[in-house]
Amino acid sequence: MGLGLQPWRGVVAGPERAGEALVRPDLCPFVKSVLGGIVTCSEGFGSVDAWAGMYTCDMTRRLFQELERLSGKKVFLLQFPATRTAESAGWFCDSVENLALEVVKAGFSSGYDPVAALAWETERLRGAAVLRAAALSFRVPPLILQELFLGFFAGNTFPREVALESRTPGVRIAVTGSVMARGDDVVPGTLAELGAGYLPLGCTGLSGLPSTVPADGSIRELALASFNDARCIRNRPNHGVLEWIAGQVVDSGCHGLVLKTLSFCDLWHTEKERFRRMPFPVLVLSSDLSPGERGRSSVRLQAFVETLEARNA
Amino acid sequence: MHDPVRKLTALEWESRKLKIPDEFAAQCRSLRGFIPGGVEYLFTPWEYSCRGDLLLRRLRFDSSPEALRLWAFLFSEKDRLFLAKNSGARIIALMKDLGQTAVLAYAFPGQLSFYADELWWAPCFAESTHLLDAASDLGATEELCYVRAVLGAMKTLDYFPRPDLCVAGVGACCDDFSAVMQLVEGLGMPVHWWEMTAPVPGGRGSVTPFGGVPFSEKDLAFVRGQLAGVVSALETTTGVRCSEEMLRGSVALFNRLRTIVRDLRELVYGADYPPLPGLEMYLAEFIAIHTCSEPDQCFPVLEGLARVAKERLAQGLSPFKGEEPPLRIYWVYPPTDASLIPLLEDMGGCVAGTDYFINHAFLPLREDTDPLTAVAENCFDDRLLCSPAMRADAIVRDIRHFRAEGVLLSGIFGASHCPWDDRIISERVRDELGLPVLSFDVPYSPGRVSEQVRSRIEAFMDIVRQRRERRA
Repeated sequence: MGLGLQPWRGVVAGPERAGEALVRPDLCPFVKSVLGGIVTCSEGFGSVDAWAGMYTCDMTRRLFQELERLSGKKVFLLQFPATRTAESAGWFCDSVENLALEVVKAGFSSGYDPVAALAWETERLRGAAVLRAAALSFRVPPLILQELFLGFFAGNTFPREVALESRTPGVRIAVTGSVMARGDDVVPGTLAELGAGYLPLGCTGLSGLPSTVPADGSIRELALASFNDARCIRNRPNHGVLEWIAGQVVDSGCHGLVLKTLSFCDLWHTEKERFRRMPFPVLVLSSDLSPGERGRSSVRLQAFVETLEARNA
Repeated sequence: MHDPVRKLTALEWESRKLKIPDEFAAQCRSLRGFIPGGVEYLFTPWEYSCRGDLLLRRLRFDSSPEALRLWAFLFSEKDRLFLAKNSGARIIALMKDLGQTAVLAYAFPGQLSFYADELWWAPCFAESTHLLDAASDLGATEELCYVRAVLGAMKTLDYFPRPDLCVAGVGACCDDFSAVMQLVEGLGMPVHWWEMTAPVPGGRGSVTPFGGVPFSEKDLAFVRGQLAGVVSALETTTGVRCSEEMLRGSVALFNRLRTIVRDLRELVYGADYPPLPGLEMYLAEFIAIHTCSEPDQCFPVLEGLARVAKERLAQGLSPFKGEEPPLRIYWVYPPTDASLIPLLEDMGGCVAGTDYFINHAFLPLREDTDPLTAVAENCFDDRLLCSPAMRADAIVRDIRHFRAEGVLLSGIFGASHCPWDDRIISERVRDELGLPVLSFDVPYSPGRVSEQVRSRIEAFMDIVRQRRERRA
């Protein structure tokens, strides 16, 4: 917003098959679906003029490295560091500043306005606080909550208030793992059907919400706040991320945790044994985005919820 | 020993070893810096197979004593690491960068550094899943590529002793190994993490001096700082303060090593009748990344091999026979199952150029700048950090250089880079060079080569052969 652009985040599941035509099938389904969205210009992907390709995992890195060739749109690459040091933070800030310069140089912006950027970030922080409180109340139906989070991340819709139901659910389930894009709603959908509570903890949930208040609207301060807020499983080391997730589950009074990973998402999938050692029930759901997987995931989730209900009866 | 140039089985080497002159065998001793007089390592493939690497019984080996020494040198690395540890050496497990941090580590005395990544081929050589099973127990299951064997080895410690330090490159790296390295730390291993950065396609100012890969000066300064952090971690572990002179000495050592391997590749892969088989070259290439945990011995091993190659070329000798030169195949990805290389050769082919992920380790390091900058520049040359298109460009250049007639990609199921690289490399090769391409994932197939893979290579070689005949 500081550059006078309209940001849109591609956390939308596009047609996976169209993406699969360009790569081998043993690729993260989310990346394939984004690729499908880009090549078919569907689900909002067609409205993009340029991409800020901030990569975290190897699969997104390769997606963004090839995106300019595949989409014909300018791609500004940015590596989000895996290491959590002051040097990495400084380098990330340099990289974001450089990205902004390149955006201006390429003619997409006439310059950076720190006042506009800070105003937008302030609004985003306020919206995040509202969303966080709503999620932790467990009084928002799971599918609506999911939509609010996706609206926050994909559409930059920052809620001022959220309507709460009077009834609180009996069983509360925290969910973490791979990105949950729009269209991937089997978990909140099933929890809604079962009348269970839903606490999204992944990067399209609480862990993705900003909390650090930047000192000013400079690119450097905003980049640093973003770096400091990151609770990505790809952080190295990532013990702090696992501790944060466990703490959220316990502090929120959740009865169990679902680790939902996408096929070939090594960074989450390999953590399953460490999650299983956590001091509360954990269900590991590994799936792709195909309709066939919905039924299987739903049945397993149902069994998990019933087990927790019996335990807490 | 002036026997004809041929390939021998492990058992044939067993009886033939008696003919090796004592003076030659006496030179094959490692760890002289740790154990007075050093330790003998010139054992035959059969003996190493009896220690667990059963695949050696299915392979055939070049008949030169220098090739036997090469095999023995590689397969004795495990012994070296354990013996050195017992003698008080620090053991450093380097992970992921494949060639750069070894330059820093070997600036330090009193340590042996090895690339844990190389355990990746251990399940195929051992024809045993025990490392993979141990990794699975810890969460690294079969969605990951074979590099998960590293985690199994860190758990069982039957391939190397407990490392005193693990140096882990992350950031712009494959997801599989990033995940594995995190689980390694979960075992309680001391890990120093450093950030690897990806070159930006199109560039941001400068290019690397020998690889021609674009990078920005800010990125270079950052990577240099990351490498300085690796040096600090090594200082803490070894208790030795590292001077610039020590680093310069190591850069010079690796430049000498890289020159030998680079020249060897030119000699062998450039010849119509290669003077050495592809399997021996496969092993020789990997020595370039870390000296195979023995800087003193790696030079006579490789120099001996290079001497054999030159003599054979001068005399018109080659393990490849026939009126027509073998079909020239460029190989992409290191084959998990080493028996695929001799299989290709048995079908009338030869390896004519490779991209085993380590081509950056054949490039020189600048000696006219500070050592950390020289190594940092080399980091950008790593083709796995580059975009798939940049890697494909480099491969196309290699193929032209070595006059390959076909390209074989022995992919790795589950590896995070293969789904992108395979398609892009294959298309680029077909579009720009019009060459046949074979791409498949190497299955785990203990005791025999997968029939499906055999059939596919056979059909591919027929296509390459027909293409040559049409062009004749």
